[in-house]
Amino acid sequence: MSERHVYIVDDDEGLRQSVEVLLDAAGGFTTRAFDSGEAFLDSLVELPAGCVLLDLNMPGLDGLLVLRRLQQSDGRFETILLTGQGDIGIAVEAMKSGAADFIEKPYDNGMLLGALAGGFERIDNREREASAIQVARSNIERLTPRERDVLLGLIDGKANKIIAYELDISPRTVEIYRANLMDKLGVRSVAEAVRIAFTAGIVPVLPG
Amino acid sequence: MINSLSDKPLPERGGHSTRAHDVKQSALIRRARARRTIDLTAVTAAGLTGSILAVQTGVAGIGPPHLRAWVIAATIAAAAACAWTWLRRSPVRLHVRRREWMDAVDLAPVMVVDDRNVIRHWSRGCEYIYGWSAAEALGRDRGKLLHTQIDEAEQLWPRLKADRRLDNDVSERHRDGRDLAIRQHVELFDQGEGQPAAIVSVTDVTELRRAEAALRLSEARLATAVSIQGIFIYEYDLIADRMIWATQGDERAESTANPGATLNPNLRRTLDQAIAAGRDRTHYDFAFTYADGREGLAEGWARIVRDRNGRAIRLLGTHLDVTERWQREQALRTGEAERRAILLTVPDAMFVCSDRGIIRACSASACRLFGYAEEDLIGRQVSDFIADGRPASAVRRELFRAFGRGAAATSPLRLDVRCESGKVIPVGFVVGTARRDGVRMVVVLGRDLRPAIASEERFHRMNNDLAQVSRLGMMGEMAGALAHELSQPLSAVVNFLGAAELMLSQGDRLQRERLRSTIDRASEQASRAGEIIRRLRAFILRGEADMRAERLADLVREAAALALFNANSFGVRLTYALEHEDRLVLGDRVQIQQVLVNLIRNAADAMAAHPGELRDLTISTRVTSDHLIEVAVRDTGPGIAPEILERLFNPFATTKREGLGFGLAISRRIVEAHGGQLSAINAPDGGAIFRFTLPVMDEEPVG
Repeated sequence: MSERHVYIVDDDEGLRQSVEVLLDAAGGFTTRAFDSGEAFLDSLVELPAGCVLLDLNMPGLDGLLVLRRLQQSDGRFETILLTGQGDIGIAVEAMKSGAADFIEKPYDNGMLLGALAGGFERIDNREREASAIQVARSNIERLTPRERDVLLGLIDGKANKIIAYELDISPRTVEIYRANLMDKLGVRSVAEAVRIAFTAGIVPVLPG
Repeated sequence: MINSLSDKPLPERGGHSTRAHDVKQSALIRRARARRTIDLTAVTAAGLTGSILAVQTGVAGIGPPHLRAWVIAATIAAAAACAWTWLRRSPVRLHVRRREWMDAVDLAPVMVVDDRNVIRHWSRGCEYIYGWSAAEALGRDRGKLLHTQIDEAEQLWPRLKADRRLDNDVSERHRDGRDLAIRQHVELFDQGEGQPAAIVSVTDVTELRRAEAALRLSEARLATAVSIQGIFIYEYDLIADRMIWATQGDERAESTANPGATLNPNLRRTLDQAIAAGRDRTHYDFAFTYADGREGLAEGWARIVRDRNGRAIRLLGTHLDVTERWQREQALRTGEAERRAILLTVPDAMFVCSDRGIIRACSASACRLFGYAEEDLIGRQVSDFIADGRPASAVRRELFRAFGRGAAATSPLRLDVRCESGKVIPVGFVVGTARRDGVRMVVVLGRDLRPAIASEERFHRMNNDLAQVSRLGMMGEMAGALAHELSQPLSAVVNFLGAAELMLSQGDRLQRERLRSTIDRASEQASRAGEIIRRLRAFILRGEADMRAERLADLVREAAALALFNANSFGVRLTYALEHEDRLVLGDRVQIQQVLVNLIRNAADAMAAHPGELRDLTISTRVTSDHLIEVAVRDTGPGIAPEILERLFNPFATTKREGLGFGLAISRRIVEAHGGQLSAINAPDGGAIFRFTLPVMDEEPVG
């Protein structure tokens, strides 16, 4: 993980500066401040993924609206909502709209930094997951159609004989395909092969 | 006397010429009898002359005036003819006797004129009438001397030549200029030598004419009066069934009866009933229609005239147009009915009084409200029912003042009324005045104020609750705004200080300048938070201050009324001890009242918390120095606990469960903002005293 981008969206200059100073002192963050929700959304496409510290009470677009638009257009950001007058109704609304966290001002420094850490962890996880899927997909793409059919049969937990019968080939041939595909996927057990198939998304996680 | 001297009976009206003829005949007989009869003739003539005088003086008292005139004229004519005959035809000269006789005859007003109207003979009677002596009149032209005026057709000589005699009226003039009405009888005779002359016997009928004119005038006046009154008088022949006579000329009067010859059939029926009942007089009303179609009403009286056998033959009646009177009565009856209806239905208690307050009439609602029967109220003084602790004379004075103001009063007079049951109820009185037949009447409307007071109390309570709720709502809103406003700088402070802490923890790489700048910025944000709070306080306390010169006594009274309009004030006895009521203070009316309301409510609440105790609330003002006036609110509650007393004016200090603890804190700020001080002590004999001072406004307002 290279840079940790934090976007501060707040109409209060004193607060923006104090967050920047804090994160600078904490180290390891690249910060950028916006004085309104509109300014932030306008620059969205050019921004690397990161955490957004979003003030709820702002003139113009308020925090919740900015959050919803952000969720609709881009899933790369983790949003932490900050508010001076928190109540449960707003908190629930914020979480439903996809906020990663909800912090009431004035807050403890540790709480803010912890929330940021959580956000970046989710971003990291999401990136790791994305690369695993990428690998699995390229592996699956190397299989022949027959090998793929056999894999699907294995995923369904069918015995070699049943797969052979359904594909109208001999059980011996099924065993050869099975050995080839496990070799191509670089796995030693059927269970591992099934996990790669799931990761690549060739079968739905839930039956249906 | 007349009869004893003359065997002739008194002449009848209109019989003068016959009489003159008789006299002339008897004179001829006498002449034939010659001397022997002269004495007799003389005596007869003298008797006649005497009778003339007698008639002129004595007859004046009897008979109608025109009859009198004729008698006189006839007698004079006879006497004159007699005298002339005797003078011309009798050659006998009995000088002495003749002299006397002539003197007597000469009293008759007789003149002789020739055919050129020159006066040839002028009797002493003429002297009396005209004022000219014989010497002055003889030889003069009659017309010129006497200013004789006569109709063209009545000219003397043409008529005389045709008829040989005439009777007519002329207008002549007395020597002194008076106009005379003269009745003349003229006979033509021949003087001999073919010279005609006229013997003119005159009678002064001036007085007679004047009386006749007066009579005519009074008749005209009567007719006018009859017509003005709308009286119609008629005489009706019941046998022939026709109108004999009726007053004329008045449209109104004629309208009341059938203008035709016969009586209105309805009227006739009514009269026939009276006749059949054997009555001689009857009185009836009947409707009629005016010429213009309006309905009218007339009243009639009739006298029934009967013949010897009791048969009704004639009717004398009068009709009087009573339409206007009837309409007035109708209006009066309607007015009375309306008045009764109003008195029965008017919802407020209503009294009609004399201007001394004696009840003349009252409404049903008045009886209900006061609990008395109508007859128990009428005749009593309104003030008798007022029971507000003052002497009756004071109440009466106030009532009379209200009567004087009448409808000009702007607000109802509120007085307590004692009902028949002894219960005392508050009543608002409104007074109106009216003048009837020159007497001033007062209409007093009284309204039971209990429902109004109850609803007013309810309204106030609701208003208070509402104010409380909205105050709470406003506080919540303000708290929210305040939270947001303050959370920003406070968060920034936390952030800066957090950064500083992080910097310090990285001990080996400590950058002093960076750390100082961070701490400075934290301090800046903390100041900003403080500024926000100051701004807020300024807004709450001084944002709407409106300083004016106010009468402190008024503020106190209003605030007390406002503060004591709630449940806790029940049973509180309020006493004012206000010095210098006219002194003005400079302040914001609303804010000062807020302080007063707060102190008074606190006092009432403190006393209410201890039921059974005395609840005396005293508000006093006194001037403490040249510039300050002090207001003290004292209660008889439990006083202030010592531990509370210390922090009494701090926010959140309260002993009341529902209190916010802001009241006294705000009150103190308000008083201080006005340049005064608010303090509290426990009174030595129990209860609490809150005092505050305000600057006195100078007598001369500045600016």
